[in-house]
Amino acid sequence: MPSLAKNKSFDKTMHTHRRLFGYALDVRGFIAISALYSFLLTIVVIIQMFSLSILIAHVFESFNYPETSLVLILAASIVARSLLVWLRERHAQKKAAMIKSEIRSKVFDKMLDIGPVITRSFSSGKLIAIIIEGSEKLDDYFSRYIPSIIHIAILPPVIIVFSFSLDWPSGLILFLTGPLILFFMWLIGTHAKKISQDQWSALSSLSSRFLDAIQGLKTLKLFGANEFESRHIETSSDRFRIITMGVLKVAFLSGMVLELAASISIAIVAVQVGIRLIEGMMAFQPGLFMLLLAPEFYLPFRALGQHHHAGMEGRAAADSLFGIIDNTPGAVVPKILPDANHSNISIVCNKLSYTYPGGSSPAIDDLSCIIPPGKLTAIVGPSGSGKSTFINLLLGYILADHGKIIVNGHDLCRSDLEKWRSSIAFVSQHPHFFNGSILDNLLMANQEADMKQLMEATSKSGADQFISALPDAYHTLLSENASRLSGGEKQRLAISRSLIKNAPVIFLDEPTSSLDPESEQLIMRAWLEAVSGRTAVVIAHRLQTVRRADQILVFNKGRIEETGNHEQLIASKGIYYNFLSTLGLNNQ
Amino acid sequence: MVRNLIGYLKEHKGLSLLALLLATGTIVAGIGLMSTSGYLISRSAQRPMIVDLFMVTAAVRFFGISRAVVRYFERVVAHDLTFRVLLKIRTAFYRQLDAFPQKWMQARRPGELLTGMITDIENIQNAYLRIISPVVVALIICTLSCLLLLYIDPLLSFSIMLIYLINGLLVPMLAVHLSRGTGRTNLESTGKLKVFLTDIVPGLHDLFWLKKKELISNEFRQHEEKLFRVQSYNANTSGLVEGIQSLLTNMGMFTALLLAIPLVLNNQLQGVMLAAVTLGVLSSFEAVQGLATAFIQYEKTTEAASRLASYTADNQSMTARTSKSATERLLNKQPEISFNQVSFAYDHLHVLEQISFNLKPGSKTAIVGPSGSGKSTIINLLTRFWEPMAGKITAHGVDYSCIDQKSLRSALSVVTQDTYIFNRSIRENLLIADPNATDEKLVKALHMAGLGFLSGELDTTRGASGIKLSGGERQLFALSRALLAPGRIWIFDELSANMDPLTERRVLDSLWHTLEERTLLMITHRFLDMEKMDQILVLQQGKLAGIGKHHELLFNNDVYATMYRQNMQILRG
Repeated sequence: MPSLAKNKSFDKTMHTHRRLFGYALDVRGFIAISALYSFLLTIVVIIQMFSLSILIAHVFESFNYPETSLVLILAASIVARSLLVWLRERHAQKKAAMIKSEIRSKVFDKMLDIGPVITRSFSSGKLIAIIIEGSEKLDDYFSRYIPSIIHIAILPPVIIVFSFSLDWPSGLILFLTGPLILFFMWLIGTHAKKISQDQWSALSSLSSRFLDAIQGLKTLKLFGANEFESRHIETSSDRFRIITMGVLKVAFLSGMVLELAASISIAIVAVQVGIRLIEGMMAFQPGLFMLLLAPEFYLPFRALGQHHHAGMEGRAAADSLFGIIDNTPGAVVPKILPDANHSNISIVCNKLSYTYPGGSSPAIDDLSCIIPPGKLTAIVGPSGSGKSTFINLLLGYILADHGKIIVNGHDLCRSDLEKWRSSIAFVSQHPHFFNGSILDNLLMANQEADMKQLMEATSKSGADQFISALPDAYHTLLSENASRLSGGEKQRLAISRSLIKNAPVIFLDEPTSSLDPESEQLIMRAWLEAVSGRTAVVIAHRLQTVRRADQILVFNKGRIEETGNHEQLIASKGIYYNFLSTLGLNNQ
Repeated sequence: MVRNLIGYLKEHKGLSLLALLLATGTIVAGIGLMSTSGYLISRSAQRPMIVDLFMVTAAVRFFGISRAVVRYFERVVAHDLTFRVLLKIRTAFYRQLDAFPQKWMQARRPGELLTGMITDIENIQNAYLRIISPVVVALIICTLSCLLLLYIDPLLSFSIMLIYLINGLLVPMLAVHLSRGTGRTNLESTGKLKVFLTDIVPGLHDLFWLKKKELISNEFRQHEEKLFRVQSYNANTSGLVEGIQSLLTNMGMFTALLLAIPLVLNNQLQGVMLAAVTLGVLSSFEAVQGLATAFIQYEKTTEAASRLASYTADNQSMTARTSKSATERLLNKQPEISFNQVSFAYDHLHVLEQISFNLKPGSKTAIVGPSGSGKSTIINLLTRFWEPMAGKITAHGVDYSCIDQKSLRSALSVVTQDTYIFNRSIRENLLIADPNATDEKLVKALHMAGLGFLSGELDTTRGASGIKLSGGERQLFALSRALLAPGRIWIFDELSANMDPLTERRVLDSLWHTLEERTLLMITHRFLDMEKMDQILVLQQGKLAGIGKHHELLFNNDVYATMYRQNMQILRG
């Protein structure tokens, strides 16, 4: 079994690498031009070392000044080499920027496709970090790791071919050691993987313990345990050092083998050339040329070793980026929803089920109900009973695993979601306001609204009072989700926004806790304004709201346990009655 | 911090010197390998007896093997040293963080502050590997090779020294300059994209019904396009430093060759040495190769160090002036705590204004008020994370500023709203409150808090792979920890905020049952058990809007009465 698991993770790794290479292949000219640069670089290196060896041999053997042309060729090859190094890197960086940009856009598009539900699995902060920092981690992958692989595919073979034609014994040494080094690198990649994983886990547990201790500093201090903890950091860090060093000693061995193969091979080339020179079996210049070429032959291997880490890091970052890209939103086939007049939209839910990805039990379980047009439907139930999931299904943020939502006789799954969302308004518990003025935020709901409509909406919701008290009134700039407004003010502004949209359907999620006394009254009035004459669904947290509801749906464990209005439900003495009793509210 | 770093390195003098020696040795072996090889081939071309070359051949092999082996030991020693230094830095930094929670709580984005801090420490911990070692080794190698070349010819030596200086000083300075420029433009456009995302992502649920998808997409494209353009412009200069380094390295070799040729022809230098000198000079440039990175890293490190210093600065005021006798009186006691005309403000906003009240031993007090009225600030003052701006807090008649935080806190058992649960086992998490508690005691505390299901999981680690606790359970866990703590004054901030009504009722009942003669201060939103309180403080916008018993307030305090009635209207869940 463990070997199976290992294989699976290996497959996944290879899969990610293959996908990343796919991106590289899709960018026109990235691979081809990188390969061309590598090839040119190889040729220039050969010319440089060849002219250098002729120069030295000339001076050494014929004891004479060399020809100027030869000196110029050497100088030119040195300049060309540096230029190519620069161009090659520049090219890789430019293409890497393109690929990063493409991946970022893909992730963002997907985020818009799957919508707010994604924030269930990732916090907004994490999501933003994945998009921005995650894509930056791909930089080295594309600008260094991939080019170094390309380089290793070109320079060593060309040099081998060249040296075989010039001096086959030296060529043979290079030919044998090159694959040997690759073999060792493969060993690092597979057998030594466990070691490097141990190394990373030891290192990261060392830092995470420290992070943990800082995050919890306030708690530690409250219990007077911070001094104890700082001693603990000291002893545990030292223990971790010893463990980590044990791991690193082994991990570095693989690096040493690589280095050893390269430097011993150079030594062997030198010694065997030397012996054949003594025996008079070869000339000095080709011998020197082989010695000059040998270090160049091993350079790409060392470079790949250096960028191996960038490759691993990029792959890990890619995993989380792909994790978002691979989210499948339900297939939405556009079909135009009939234009809805106000107050005549009815919603029928037929045997809905929904389980969150990775969830063990369904959040919505075989749920059916009818939401009548132009009426107020209230939802109550304990936390975790599926109320928000139900609203998310109605908003089309998630699509049911089974069952149907039918809007005025049309199946929502197959309707155009954009169109559906254009006929709804939503006031959430935590309404979000975007950077910009109050006016901008209100106009988002309806670009065509004129000032008169705006004023009407804000006066109905009671938002006009606090807005006109602000120094810049409607032009007051909101930032960081309107952090300067109080909870009650935000609620009133959110209701204004929904009134401006003037949608036939409205969903509301009442705040769970009380706002300041003044806001409470104003908001209650605003709510009634918002729902009047519309098909309204509200997750209710206030007794006043449920008592006014035309229909109450009592949720429990993803199902609707009871339906009726307040009086009916009280009279039936079921779950609703008990729920209110716990809160001491049943006497009303 | 950097000065401290050098201090820490001095503490491990032997190890530091060894690491430097090995790092130098690695490069020396590289130079040795290439120059002896060059010599070997040249000498061989003269076709001497094979025995004459025995030493040279051995030297070639020696350098070939030792280069890899020495580098291996260098890496081991340097990493060991880094870990030892890291340990010192972390411990010292942790000890200095005394007033940090205050700054942290007042920070706009505490998470960012924290990750920034961790990155800063990582930057410093790598200072030896990435700055000190490369610079020192470069100095040693360059000096040695210039001295050797001086022995051959002064002009040769000075020319190479000049190229070393350009490659090791001017090029790194150019690298720093470039990275500043590109870093800034990149940061700016990344920052803009980040601001855009920070505005959009948390508001997706509202954006969806407010705005067409294409419009949002287009906006993103505009920001993305800008970032892309900046990054591909910056690509022009990337690789420039590597290009110049390659140019200078090969030019160094070229210069050495051109200057050595006349020496050979004038018989000042043996012909067999020509290849050796050229190849030796070429490999010696390895020593200056890493300096560009070191310079860039140096800038980052000094910035990190000054940021870290700012976290730990000016936190002496909190711990000074401790009176020993006052402290002793507090230990294991249940002191009376009094707020006397206490005011507090931050960011120029008055959070509390002239608040006065007493917590008599054994009394039960509740604080109610809308959010933002300053309730949690009272807890932060009580636990002495913050100091009042005006007025006085006393315990047992002794001014708070004369009592050290540790013994003060030993008298308090607190559940804050932001209790942290560590990524450790359940047992370790509980032992924080009472290091000597037996398992039996821990299990009892868990049961009392209604977390009996955790009693068999004392060794399970919380976190990604371990037990996940819901919001309500986290608070219960914090409660079980508070129950273990020895303090006789119980302070609970929104204990039941995330619990369903049934759990809430059960927890409160169990609390009243175990409370006995302890002092209780409870901040609450929910107005439960108000009739059991000896006094209720009504806070509104930082001011005390009323103080008294439930029934008194219900009749004569409008603020309280309205809040109470409204709360009774709220369904939970």
